[in-house]
Amino acid sequence: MTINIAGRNSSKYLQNRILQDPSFGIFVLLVLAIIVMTFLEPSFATGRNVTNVINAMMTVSFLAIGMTVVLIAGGLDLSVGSTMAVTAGVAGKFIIYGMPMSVAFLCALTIGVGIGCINGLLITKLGIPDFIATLAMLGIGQGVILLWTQGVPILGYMSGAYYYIGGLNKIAGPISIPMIVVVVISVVMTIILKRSKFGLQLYAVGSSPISARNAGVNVDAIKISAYAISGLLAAIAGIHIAGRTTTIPPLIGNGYEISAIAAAVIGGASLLGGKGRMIGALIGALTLTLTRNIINLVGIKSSWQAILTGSVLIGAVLANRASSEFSRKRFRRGKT
Amino acid sequence: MQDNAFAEVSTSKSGSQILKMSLISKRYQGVQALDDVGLVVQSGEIHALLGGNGAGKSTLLKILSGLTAPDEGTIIFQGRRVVIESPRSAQELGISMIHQELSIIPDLSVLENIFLGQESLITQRKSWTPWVNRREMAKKVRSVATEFGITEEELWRPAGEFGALKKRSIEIVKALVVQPKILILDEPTSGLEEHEKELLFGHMRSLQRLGVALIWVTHHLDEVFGLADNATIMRDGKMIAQTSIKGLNLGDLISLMFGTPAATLIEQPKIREIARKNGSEDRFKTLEVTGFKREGVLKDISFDLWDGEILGIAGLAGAGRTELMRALMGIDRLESGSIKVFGKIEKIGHPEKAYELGIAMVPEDRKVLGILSEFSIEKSISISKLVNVLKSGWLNAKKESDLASEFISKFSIKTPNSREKIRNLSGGNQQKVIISRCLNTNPRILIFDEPTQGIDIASKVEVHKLIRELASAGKSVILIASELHELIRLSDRIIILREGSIVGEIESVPEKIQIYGYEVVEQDILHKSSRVKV
Amino acid sequence: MKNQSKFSKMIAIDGVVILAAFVLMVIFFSLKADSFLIPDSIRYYINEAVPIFIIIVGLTFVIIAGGIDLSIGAVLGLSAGTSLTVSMWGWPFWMAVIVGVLTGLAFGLLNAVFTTIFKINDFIVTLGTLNIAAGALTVLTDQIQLTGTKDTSFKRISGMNFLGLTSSIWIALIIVVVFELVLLKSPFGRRIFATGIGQVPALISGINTQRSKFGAYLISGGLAGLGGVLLASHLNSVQSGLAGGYELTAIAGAVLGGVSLAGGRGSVWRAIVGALFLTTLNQGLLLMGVDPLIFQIVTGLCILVGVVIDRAVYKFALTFSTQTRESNSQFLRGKRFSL
Repeated sequence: MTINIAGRNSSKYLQNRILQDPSFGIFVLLVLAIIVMTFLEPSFATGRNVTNVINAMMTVSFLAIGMTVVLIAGGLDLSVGSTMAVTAGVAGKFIIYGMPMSVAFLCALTIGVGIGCINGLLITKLGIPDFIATLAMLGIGQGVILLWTQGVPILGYMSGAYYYIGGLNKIAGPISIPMIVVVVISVVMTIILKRSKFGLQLYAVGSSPISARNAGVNVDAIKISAYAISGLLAAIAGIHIAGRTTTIPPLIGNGYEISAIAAAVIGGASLLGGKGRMIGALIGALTLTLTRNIINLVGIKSSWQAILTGSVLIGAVLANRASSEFSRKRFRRGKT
Repeated sequence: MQDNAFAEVSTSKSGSQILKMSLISKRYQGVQALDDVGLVVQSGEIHALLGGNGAGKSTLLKILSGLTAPDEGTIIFQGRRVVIESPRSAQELGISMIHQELSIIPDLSVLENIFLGQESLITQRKSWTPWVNRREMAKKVRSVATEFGITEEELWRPAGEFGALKKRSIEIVKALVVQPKILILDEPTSGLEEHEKELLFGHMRSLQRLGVALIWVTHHLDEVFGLADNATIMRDGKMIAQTSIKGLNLGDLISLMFGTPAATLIEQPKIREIARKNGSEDRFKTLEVTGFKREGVLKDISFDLWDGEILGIAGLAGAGRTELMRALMGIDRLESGSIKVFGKIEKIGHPEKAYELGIAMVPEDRKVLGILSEFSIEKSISISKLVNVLKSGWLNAKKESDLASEFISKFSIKTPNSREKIRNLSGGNQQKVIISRCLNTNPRILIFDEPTQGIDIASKVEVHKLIRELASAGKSVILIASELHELIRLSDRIIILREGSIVGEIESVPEKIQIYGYEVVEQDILHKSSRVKV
Repeated sequence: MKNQSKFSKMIAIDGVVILAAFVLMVIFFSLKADSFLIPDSIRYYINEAVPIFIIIVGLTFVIIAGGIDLSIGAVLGLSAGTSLTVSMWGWPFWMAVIVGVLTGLAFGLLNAVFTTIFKINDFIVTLGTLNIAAGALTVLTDQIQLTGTKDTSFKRISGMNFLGLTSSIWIALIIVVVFELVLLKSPFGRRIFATGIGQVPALISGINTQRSKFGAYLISGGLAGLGGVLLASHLNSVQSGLAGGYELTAIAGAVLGGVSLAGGRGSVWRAIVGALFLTTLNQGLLLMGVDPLIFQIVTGLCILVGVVIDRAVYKFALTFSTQTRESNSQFLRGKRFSL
């Protein structure tokens, strides 16, 4: 959160900043993995695979961005996967019902935000612990989409435009609409986090709710907004994944909450709150997607994916804790 | 727009009455925390608020800063009667508080910490804007920050990087941002090194120059002289005196703060007649502590404990008394140090082990650390050693209730029956249950950390008697008590801690009292624990 | 006034509210759906719910100790898979039982190690192991078609009949009784309660709180394993995704039965009443022609309602309040017993 102020742009300073960046380690690993794979696996560096990876990464990216916001505020949202499924269903079904695509999308986004707000209200106003409230919401969301679709995948909503939104059709070269949306959202969110009152207060609430309240921050409002943002991004993910997969099986969102948490934590967000960045969320999403792609390419069956994600989640939390303990020690030593 | 945001602060004239709290009362769950207390503060003065633990200072300040509401009483601020509903409304009135625990958010930069919750201050003309302008913030706060020792560059660094003094300074600057008329400083020197304290006092003088009235809570009485103008002294939830510091000496303050009130005089434990000499043939060491060290908390502490003695541990808040006991119980890990129990070197890595070795502890802060709130009296007592109530491997209800009944009648615990939940008992009875829990393990060494905190006078007397009896029965007792008269009158020997080190020891306390008189012993302890040379 | 205090005393008796609600529901359904009270139909749906009853027992231990176990459903599914696999390989039925239970224990151990030794948040750990177990089942079912064993003794584990009830139900009953005894009458059970009521006071009373939690997770894992064996024996076929979402039902049941998610309060039989309430509700709705898919929504809502009631009736705000948590964490901060 510190800012590079003018006059400190010496190359040495820049070098230090890059080396000390919390995501530096994982970034090096990613680059190494990419280099090794390029040499070992001819099908890895092909254009088709690369666009595949990027498109698959988009869904997780949306969710990871939302999850990072919630984690910064010191919460956790287990409902993102099922919110994504519900909003995908809303988008798909409403188009089938004959609504214009834009209206259907607007409904999906509204419902996403609504679910987020409900989560936030349950947590702040009724005092239900984050995990429990969003876990219950996960169940409810899943139930709603199952009931609505009767367990039958939703089909027949795809149109020309939707192929673009799903990232299956590109607008220029390898560039697709979801890519642009992800970039725009992460840039906007970065600016909000770094430059706005809301961003400042978000970090404060996550770091220490008591201190934040003493300073006059409306802690409840900040938390509710964080969940609303997570809901909004889950809805965007829902709209996107409906286009990417061209059918919506009702359980489409299952397990995505774990990917989202894992990606956010890999990107440096902490379950203890007060930490996290957008670029981290993207790096986390890329790591996760790339790992899956790699194990696919080297011939491990895709059924191993869930095992992998679960292990990555626990591993990432462990690593995150170890590194934060390390930096806490550094703080103590550097005490002035 | 002005560069210096604080130019307007010193508008009020020095000497006029800015705050008057009168007849403030507050009860917490049957305990009278404040009883018709008043506080008058002149603008631009440094006003010391003094009193021992549990005197009611923090409750009074909580009321003033809007964290809690008084049951009765009025607050007049700048000639107007006000109701302070929340920290926010206190701030809007011009009352800011710097809490004893640092409330800096480590992940935010210094600048962000300073303006947290007050971001709109620098965007007054465009209060709708959602953005924060850090450059504007820095510009605004620069000169004041420099005055309080924060450089321009440091404004941009994460606050977590800095030490205690810088964090205090950050909090002072943060408090100044809202242009307060009154600033409350709760133990601002805690955690500061000697030379840092001097710097902080300098800061306090600068604040005074800015026209801010300071309400200053401190345990270090010697600091008050030469800095504070007036003092309000509290004891047991009552206001004892409001006086000018000029013309007073330390002794006056001490007797005001700790002077034994007539009402409780009768309840004082009698000074023990004979103190048995440690080291004589029929005595043995139960505990030998050597070189306990923990970063920033304990510095090379060594002491012995003998059978049948009550070892008092004196020291001000933050001296490391509780931390020492936690280390003894195996709750904290030490950097170095060894411990011998009954002459055998032991490694205590967990309270479980401490209990096995015959060490038991009655913790401070009964409600949070002491009671298992959902348990009945029976369960609360038996939990420390379940083997005592087993019958062929299973918990036996009869044995459990017999055990409880035994302690209930022994300590006359007031309860409808032994199945009553511990949380429904009064403080004194809860404490008796916790002591029973310890005694259930048949310990040879007992640690009492503030055993009479927040319990009524009758129960206090009983607890005192109990501690005496335990020692007479040959058990070693370590006693921590902030109420000095309690500590002095109960202990056979007292060691004095200050900032994590032992700074003094008084052997055979009862004898000393007989020879020199109680007052001298008390003064001696106070002086040693508060760094004053006599 | 006197009546009122009598009433509030009644309400405060553990489990009275959920029992009353249960009885009312039974009356309602028996009026509305003719086939509701037919013994065969009752036996049938109870038998179907046996795996839930078994995992809820373990879950109760974990929740009372102040933790949570989200992995039980997936572990149950995986254990069903492993035990059926070895049975199909021709291993004797008792080996299949052992393999199933060991699978569960292994995951219990994993949860215990990560939560108590590495001190990672319970939710995250068990969410991770949920995924691992579910994934492992997918991998397993990819390798082998788990369509059934020829070993009739394996099928008989759950399918035998004693006094009109299946062996499944009998096993569940025994487990409920045994573990209720362990929870309420053994030193271990008592320590579990103390740990859940307050880690710090329990620690100061000389209890090894981490060991209590460790034990609770092992029990939860082991029982999920056993539940898996019974389910495999009952269905004689296992597919990927089996028993997914059981954890939600179990949590909802426990919470409805008054097992407090704040820890330190509850009992096995009350959790069972909660589960019985949910399964009966499910059955009743089914018989009334309501879409069974609505059940998941009901489960989610039940969790929320249960937590809110718990907070309201028992004021667990007391244990969950920020102040207490802050002072607790202050006590434990930077220490070996970090949260």
